[in-house]
Amino acid sequence: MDQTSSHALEAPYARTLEHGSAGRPAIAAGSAPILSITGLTVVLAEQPETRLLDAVQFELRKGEFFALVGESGSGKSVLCSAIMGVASSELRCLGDIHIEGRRLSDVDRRQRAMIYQQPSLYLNPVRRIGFQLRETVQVIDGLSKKEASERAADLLRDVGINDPNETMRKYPHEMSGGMNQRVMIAMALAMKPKLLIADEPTSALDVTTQKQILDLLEQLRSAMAILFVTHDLGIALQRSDRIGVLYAGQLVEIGRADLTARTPLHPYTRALFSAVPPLSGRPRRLHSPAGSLPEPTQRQAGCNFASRCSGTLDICQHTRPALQGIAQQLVACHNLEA
Amino acid sequence: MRRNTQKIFASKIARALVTLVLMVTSVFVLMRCAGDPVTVLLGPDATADMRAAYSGELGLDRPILAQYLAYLHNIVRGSLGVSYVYRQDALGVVLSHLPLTLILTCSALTLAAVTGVAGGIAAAVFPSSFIGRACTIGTVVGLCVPSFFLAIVLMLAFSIQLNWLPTGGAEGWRSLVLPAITMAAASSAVLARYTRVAVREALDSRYVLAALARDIPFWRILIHHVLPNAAVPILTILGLLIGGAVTGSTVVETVFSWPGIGNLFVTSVGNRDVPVVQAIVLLAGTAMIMTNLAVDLGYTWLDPRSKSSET
Repeated sequence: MDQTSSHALEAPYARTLEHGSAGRPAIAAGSAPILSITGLTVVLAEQPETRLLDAVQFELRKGEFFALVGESGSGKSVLCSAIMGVASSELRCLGDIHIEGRRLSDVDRRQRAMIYQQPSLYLNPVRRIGFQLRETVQVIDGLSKKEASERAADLLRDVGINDPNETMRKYPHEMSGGMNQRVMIAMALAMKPKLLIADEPTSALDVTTQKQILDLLEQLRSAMAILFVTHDLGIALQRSDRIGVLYAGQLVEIGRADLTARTPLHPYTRALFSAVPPLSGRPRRLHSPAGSLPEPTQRQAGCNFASRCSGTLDICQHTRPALQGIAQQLVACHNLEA
Repeated sequence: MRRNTQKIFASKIARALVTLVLMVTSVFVLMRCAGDPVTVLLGPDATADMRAAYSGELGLDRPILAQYLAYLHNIVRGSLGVSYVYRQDALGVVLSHLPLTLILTCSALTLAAVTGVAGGIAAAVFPSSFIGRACTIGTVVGLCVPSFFLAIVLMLAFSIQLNWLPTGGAEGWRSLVLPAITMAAASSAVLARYTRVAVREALDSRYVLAALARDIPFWRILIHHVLPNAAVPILTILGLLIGGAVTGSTVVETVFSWPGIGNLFVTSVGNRDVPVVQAIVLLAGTAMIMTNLAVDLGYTWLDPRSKSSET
């Protein structure tokens, strides 16, 4: 166990930790959380026993950059669409989602905006960028067409597009993925959201563009809370204040990014961090846990990770662990409770 | 960009011209395959002298290539021979019937376009409501009922039982109503089905999801995002319907004795009036090619993506 956690400290993380937390905007600690999720369980409407999300619980404060990591099928996208209020009609959401203390159903949709992994799929292919952005501005701010054009141009400048008028005349297919992602961010900003959900916004971009988009988000975060969904542990660690690890629909660990990377507690988190190839030093065989993520229909009563875990106890087979505070982290593991 | 568009336009027009030449050529070949025109004209009892004389007069004794070139030459001059029945220029005979056919097909297509597109949108937007179900059932019925049957049913109901509208002829707008409805029914059903699928697909797209998440009102999304995307397949179907409309009215014109091109076509086939039949076939083919060209050019206008990639 100790060996795995020391792996997690290997480069590049060891270095990023040093400057990691420094220079970040202070998170508004005392104020009411922007996003507060309690006991969010998402089931199939047809088969209520099939849980896609199981009692998910966390809070996001203004200025916070929260990275949600987890493998494909762990429920990240379901969580995003539940918060956006656009979950498919085949799903049923139980539990509470509050935005600034108010129930999701009572909250203006404009309080939250979302950007996506493939921005060009989320832009209308046959309308110009200018039309789509101006339309959003007009609907949100009730501006005239001319005022909306100026505001749209300002928004594009805000997201680092230097020739907004040229860009507004283009169609999405005439632009690169990175530019389209900037446009999506500009549209999100037009809504002046309290919460920005970013569902793998940089996964489809090359590394340089990725950095630019991340820097842009970094600039924007002081005015809002950012829920950043990613596969990329490096990004999660470098950019986020806290990391939440989603496994089989359950948040198994939440903690400060630096602490989680240095001392991952949950066996799944340890496995995740030890599966990152080191940038320096002698290459080693990457560790990965046996087995695979259980399908939502095959999840048992006990811990979802029990079948892949090396430290299972009897209790793991029949009781699902809940999130517990251990050191400064929250972990759902029976083995750590003792 | 502009230059690219011009290039695409030029290549599409060139392609349409090639198709036109192929169509004209295949009409020539088919007319020759259909049997010896001399036998067709003079009947099987004609003497050899009569046949030879006629062949010479029609130029049929010349080599086939010379005949073909003469045929092309005549088409370019707009001369498609003299109708055996009317003793006039065949093209003139056909064109004199064109306005009535155009009136019928234009009213039928307008009716079909309005009801088909509106019904298709309703069926896509409200799939489980009464309107949506009615549209879906309506399209099935419209597609399944053959037009000659629908014509007779409408005639029985509105002309014979209710005595509101005439059974045939072309006197005033009242005689237009039943043929136009009959002709529109099937087209409307086809359009409604394609519209429903196209609108449904656009509604399920991610840009609509994202627009909804941006709090843009649904009706605005429907008009500004969904319909422009659904327009491409709708235009394709509309183009096919328009292209086929010149001859597509044949059945309806015959049943309602509407003196248009379709009616002329049926009579001319019966009379073996080869020049008129040939003129109608050429006209219908040209109309089809021209509407296809218009639809092709329309794509570049509707879908900006088609400008940057030559397909």
